[in-house]
Amino acid sequence: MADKPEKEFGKRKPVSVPASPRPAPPPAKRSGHVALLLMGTVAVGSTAYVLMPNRTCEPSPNAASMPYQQGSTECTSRGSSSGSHSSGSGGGSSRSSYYSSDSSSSSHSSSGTSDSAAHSAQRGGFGSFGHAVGFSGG
Amino acid sequence: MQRIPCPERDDWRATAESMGFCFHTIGGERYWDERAYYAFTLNEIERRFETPTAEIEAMCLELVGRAVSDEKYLRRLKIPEAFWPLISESWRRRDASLYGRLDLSYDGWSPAKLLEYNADTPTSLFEAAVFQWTWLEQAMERAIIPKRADQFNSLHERLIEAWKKIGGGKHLHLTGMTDNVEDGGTLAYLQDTATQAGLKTTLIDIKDVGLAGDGRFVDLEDRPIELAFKLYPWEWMSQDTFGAKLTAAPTRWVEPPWKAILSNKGILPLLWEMFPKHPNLLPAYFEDDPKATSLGSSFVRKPLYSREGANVTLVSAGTTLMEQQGPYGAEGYIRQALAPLPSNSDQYAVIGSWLVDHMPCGLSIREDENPITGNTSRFLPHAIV
Repeated sequence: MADKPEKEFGKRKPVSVPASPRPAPPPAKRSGHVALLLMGTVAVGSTAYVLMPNRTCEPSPNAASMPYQQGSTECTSRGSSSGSHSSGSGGGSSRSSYYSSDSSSSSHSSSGTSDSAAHSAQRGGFGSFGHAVGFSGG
Repeated sequence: MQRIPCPERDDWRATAESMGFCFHTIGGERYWDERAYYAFTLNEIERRFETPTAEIEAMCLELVGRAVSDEKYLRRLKIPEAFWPLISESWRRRDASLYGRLDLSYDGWSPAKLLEYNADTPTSLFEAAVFQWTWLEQAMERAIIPKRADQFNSLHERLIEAWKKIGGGKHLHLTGMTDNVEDGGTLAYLQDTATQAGLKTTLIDIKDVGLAGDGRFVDLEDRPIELAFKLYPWEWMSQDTFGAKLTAAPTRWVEPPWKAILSNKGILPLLWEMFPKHPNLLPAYFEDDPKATSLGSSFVRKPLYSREGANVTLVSAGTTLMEQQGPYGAEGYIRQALAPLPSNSDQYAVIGSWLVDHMPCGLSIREDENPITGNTSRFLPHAIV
């Protein structure tokens, strides 16, 4: 068994909301700086970004000193036959290879799980309920 | 609160697409709608939304603390018994919550009322955190709104800060139904914020999550999934084939399993029972509770598990005014006192009050011609003026 929770965890506390520092700038309620690192660099007029599963992104070593600048991140996308690689702007070409791979797969068994030919792990054990409904957010 | 018609930016669609906001129009209908905005005073934001949101969050955490210690609560919520250890262990470990959204009814003068807590898989995050903010900046520049306007919105930087706390040097996998454009967009945005927090991240479709022979969940390269954000409800996870493997697997999940308690509509009667007559709660009862008759002939009937308004029925004076179809309801229903949404220009508005790391930090508004807002309800921006 895990340790018992700290006494304070989950207890109601007096509501503490920082007082507004107005009129001193910047105002309390607003964002100081909203910048995107990955999104928006590949998706002009398309849905390319959101349809790139298996994309791995890693901040470059100097990203900490410039956290909001595009180009400070390395991303790779794992496709079915060849991965694409890009820096900052991502790799929009992986979509077709990913989905052609997926659609041609015949590994899904009637039990809902499968053994990948390339890997020892079983797959397909999550998602069946959700795909029957179509969306998961609320 | 005022609904103020205003001109659209003539280039907003191009701006949205340049930012990766691909679902601004869904099925040919506007989802993002800036033909009007909602104006609030700072005092209204703080008194009506920020403070009550913190209060409701505290009450919800107290409820979870009770529920994991008393199985009576979990039975009333119809949470499967096999899932209880996963929930209670995640609470005892204090597994971190990233974010959530309270849906509130607010008529402009009386206290906002909790309609539900989207505690597990809230969407509409990108438009609330980023595109709404972009609208504010550009609308001020273009004199669409007053120059000194503000917005209750620090979602973006709070998400980055929260990831720094949660990440702990771990590789983050983000998973969900990536072929759904809205879910995929939310995952993409959260991957962006996690990357800005310095985390190494991998986006993987939920159906590609693998189960290795040693009981660990793995990605497509068979790397163990140590820390995972999942935009996929716990009640579905637990019912899928791998659900039985969740308790033994070492993966830490965001949102954590204990959030399954708070995403259940059964918290509405439980909160009312624990905090009767709280100004931000509506009377609510489980449908099989004899006290449910005290609501009389006007109430809203909600399934314990439901999303985007599905299977919600609005009953007034014994007559069903509105009923949303959907796949939910097998686990039972609750009844909540009818709090008709305020109608402005024949539009009904629901306030979304966002929390990141338990801190109230943003507002979003969904509007519909229908008094039960749902998946197609439009998103309108807001400003503090």
